[in-house]
Amino acid sequence: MSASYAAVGWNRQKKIYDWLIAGFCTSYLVLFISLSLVFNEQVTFETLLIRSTSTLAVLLLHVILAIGPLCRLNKKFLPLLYNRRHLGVTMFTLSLVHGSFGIFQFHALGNINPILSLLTSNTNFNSLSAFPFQALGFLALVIFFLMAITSHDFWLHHLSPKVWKTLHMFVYLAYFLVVMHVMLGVIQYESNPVFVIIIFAGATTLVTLHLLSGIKERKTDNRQFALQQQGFVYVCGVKDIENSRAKIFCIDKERIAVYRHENKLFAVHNVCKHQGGPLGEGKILDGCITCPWHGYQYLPQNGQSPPPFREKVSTYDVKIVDNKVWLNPAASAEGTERPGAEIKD
Amino acid sequence: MVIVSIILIIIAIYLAAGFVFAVAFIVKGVTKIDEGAHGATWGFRLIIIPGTIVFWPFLLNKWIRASKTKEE
Amino acid sequence: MMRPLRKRHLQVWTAWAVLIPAGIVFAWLAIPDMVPVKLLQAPAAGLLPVIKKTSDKKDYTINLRTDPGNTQWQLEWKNKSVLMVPSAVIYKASPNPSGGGALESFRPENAILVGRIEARGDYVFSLQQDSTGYNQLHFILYDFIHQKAIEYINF
Repeated sequence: MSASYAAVGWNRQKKIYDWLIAGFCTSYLVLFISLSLVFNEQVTFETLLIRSTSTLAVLLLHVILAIGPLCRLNKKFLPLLYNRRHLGVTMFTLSLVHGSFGIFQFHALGNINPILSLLTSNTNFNSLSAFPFQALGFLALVIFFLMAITSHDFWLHHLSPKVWKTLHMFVYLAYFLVVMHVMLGVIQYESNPVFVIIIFAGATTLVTLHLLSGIKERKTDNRQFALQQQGFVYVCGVKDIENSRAKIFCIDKERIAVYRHENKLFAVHNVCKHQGGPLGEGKILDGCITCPWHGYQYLPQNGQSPPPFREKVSTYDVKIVDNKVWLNPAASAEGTERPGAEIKD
Repeated sequence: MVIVSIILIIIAIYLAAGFVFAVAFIVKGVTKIDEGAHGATWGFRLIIIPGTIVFWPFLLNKWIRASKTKEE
Repeated sequence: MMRPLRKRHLQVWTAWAVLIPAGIVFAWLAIPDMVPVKLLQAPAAGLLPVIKKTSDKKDYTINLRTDPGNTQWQLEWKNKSVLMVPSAVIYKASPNPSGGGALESFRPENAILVGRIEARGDYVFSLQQDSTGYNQLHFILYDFIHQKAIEYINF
């Protein structure tokens, strides 16, 4: 948050997460290499490395891209999102190993610069089966590189959350490039359709998850609130909100999170100051609303981060009449203390 | 091919300049433009080097503006 | 999360829902017909008994194999030393390749893809029957990364 920077913001959960990533990646690589050696003992070391890292990177990329929509569909997946950037950097590192060995093996033996060779040795841009697929992979690697080097929060602050998010949305373009890199590359010389089926299944899963979660949210966003009284809007029943959790309502194009904490309801702006994470999808931990994305915290009654942090979000008025929750969409200034609404059983 | 070579050379020069800038930036500049960098670890300084090499003109601009406001 | 940002995500994925499957299908359709299945270290039983022709090169030996009735054909490829290319493909070209056999003029579009080999190992590919009767056969070792023919092998 706003205290001094460290290289990596490790805590217990993040360490467990990272150990799991490292363990999974190591087992995958060991298994892949051993199986390859059993079935084809002639395979060279470079080829093994190129194949094992690339397949693992593609697998991780699918996991990374599935985490976002999975969390929006079901909160049980939130722990995966918490440290997604470490997963991203791991994926980039694997892609870098794959890319470097690929460039070395295929382009470093000539007398021209390997990168130049990669970009210019094949110019069949008008052919599908002979398309320069390596250039696609290279471009995707450049995107992953830019994302990895800006993954520290320092860059989020200095590039501004908006620029940062836009830069990181290029991962979708990179994903498309990776799919085509695989399809126009190695698959063009494989007679086994299983590779096409795997890639197709992966892409279909991601597209479905993203469309489902997007459509689900559009419903929430487009909900019309008919009942209005003195600026307050009827949103839901008291029982609809679980303890220490929130429901999100979109009124006048703003998303507001209504939290239930210690038998009271409080409303804050749904957008976290850190990266624009959905505060209403988080929960109350240690008396603070905790953003599901990276754990930024705010007090429910005033929307302020506990000291020494200085982030503040807008607060809203809530009232309860006959077990019905009414919300006033007029925002108070960021960090304004609001009394909240008491729940009487 | 010639055009691609020229572009690659320009990128190489840009990144080389970024490297020189990055050394100065992580030693001095970073604390000038960001309060959070006071007392930040060396691990943090090292981890921002690749980004600094790529985005150096942007940080240079911030650094210049930060030192100007200090003088005023 | 901000509403416009989520909207942009949805727009991107709506576009991808069309473009990615289209890309996969087109790329899949572009895969050249490859009837033979690559056999790495084929068991001896899988090899046809008669060696019709042999071509011995510095780095590899290739055998054209058949059965006593000449009904089935195989191309056996044995690497003797590690090839300079990590991965290459073998094409079967027409008996009189255009340009009189010059490597530069070889175009994969006019040839039949036989299979893919790697820098090391032995490979066996079954060959499709065609009108040439295997009297005059031309194979081309092709580097698909750099899109250029490496070597002609004539039987």
